[in-house]
Amino acid sequence: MPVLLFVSVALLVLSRLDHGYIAGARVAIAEAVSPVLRTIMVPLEPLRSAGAAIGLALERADDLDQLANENQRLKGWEARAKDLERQLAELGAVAKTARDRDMPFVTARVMATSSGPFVRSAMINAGEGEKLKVGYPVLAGDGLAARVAAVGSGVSRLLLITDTDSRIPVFVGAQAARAILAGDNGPVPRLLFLTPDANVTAGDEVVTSGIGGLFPRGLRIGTVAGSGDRPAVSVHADLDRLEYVSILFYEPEARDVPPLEQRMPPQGAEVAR
Amino acid sequence: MTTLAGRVTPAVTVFILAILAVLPWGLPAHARFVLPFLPVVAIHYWSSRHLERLSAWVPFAAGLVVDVLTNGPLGYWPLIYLGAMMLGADAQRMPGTGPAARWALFLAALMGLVIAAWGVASLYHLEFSDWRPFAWALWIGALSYPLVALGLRALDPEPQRASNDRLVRGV
Repeated sequence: MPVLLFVSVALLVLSRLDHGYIAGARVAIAEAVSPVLRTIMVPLEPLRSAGAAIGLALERADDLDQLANENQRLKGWEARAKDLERQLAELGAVAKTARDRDMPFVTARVMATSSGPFVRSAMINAGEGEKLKVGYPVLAGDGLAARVAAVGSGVSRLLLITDTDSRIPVFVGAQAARAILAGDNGPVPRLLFLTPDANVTAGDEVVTSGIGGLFPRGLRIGTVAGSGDRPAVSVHADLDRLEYVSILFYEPEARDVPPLEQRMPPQGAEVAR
Repeated sequence: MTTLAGRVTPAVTVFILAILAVLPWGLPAHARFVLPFLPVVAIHYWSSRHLERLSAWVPFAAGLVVDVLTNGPLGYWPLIYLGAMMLGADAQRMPGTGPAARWALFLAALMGLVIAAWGVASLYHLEFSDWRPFAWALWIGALSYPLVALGLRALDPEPQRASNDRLVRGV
């Protein structure tokens, strides 16, 4: 017992120091346990679904009237959106603008979620076998939920946008005010580094800006839900009930940059100034 | 003589509760912190009744599994689970073996463990952690004990031979 207590404390210290052995051990143990997790999820599925449905029903009972009204309003918007889509297609054809390339994606199931005070993460049943890579954006429902943080052969770890380590460059509102969406392990992420003249109000849409190349531009995240220096953002993805997620095969442009030695000009070559 | 079922049941129940603790149940983030405390109930239950059947490796390995699958720092839950085992073993020496007395002993142990868990988390982050998930875990963990203990008792192949039962010579 004293030896195991000592080993536990030692592991905790190594985790705090972010030692490389810890990351390797973590992936190895996750790979080993994932078949057990997959197996145990099958018989528990009805119980899990019932639990989730009851929780959802209790939580959403009060929202029914509001949702019905919102549905009416959105039906009106649907017709307008279709009209705008048609106009956009016509204008695009006239202006010969380049279309954004379609991004392939893969859908995976969430096998485990974090439940401690340390991180906001999830584990999914897809990995190198599905050609996932670290950094790929992850969508749930109609919004950005996470990015891939570690990849094993059959499982991957996601870092949710509410995690302390999550920082995403975003545009806010119709004026596309620049900001950084930062998690703090709380229920909602917050906007940082908004310029003082940014006119941000509750209800403004927050989308990825694509700046830095980490995420593609225009992925929906949520709406501004507060005010002040660090306004909260109510995210579209239901991060508490992640069941299935879609991982976009997005290759940041920065990844395509060749290694430094290939970028060095050959001996004697002139460097443009 | 302990049967094979008697030897493996404690380890199996602890691991099942550890796996259940990491499954996505659709609970809000603050309420999910209750789940890793479910194995604490089982560890305390077994160590306070049949300590000889629960190896220290079981809470250590179960904690490691929870740490890995929840992506927490390695060593956190093993530390808490080993603490639960130590407190459960201490409970063997306490007087009283009725359900109410055992619940009271568990409550005292859980309170100490939750405070320790909060302390270690705060120390890890070098700032005070939010106490609310811990308070929630204490509240739900205390309420869930009778239910989980009842289930464990049903699974216990030899419930009448708890190691802290006193044998009294008849007259």
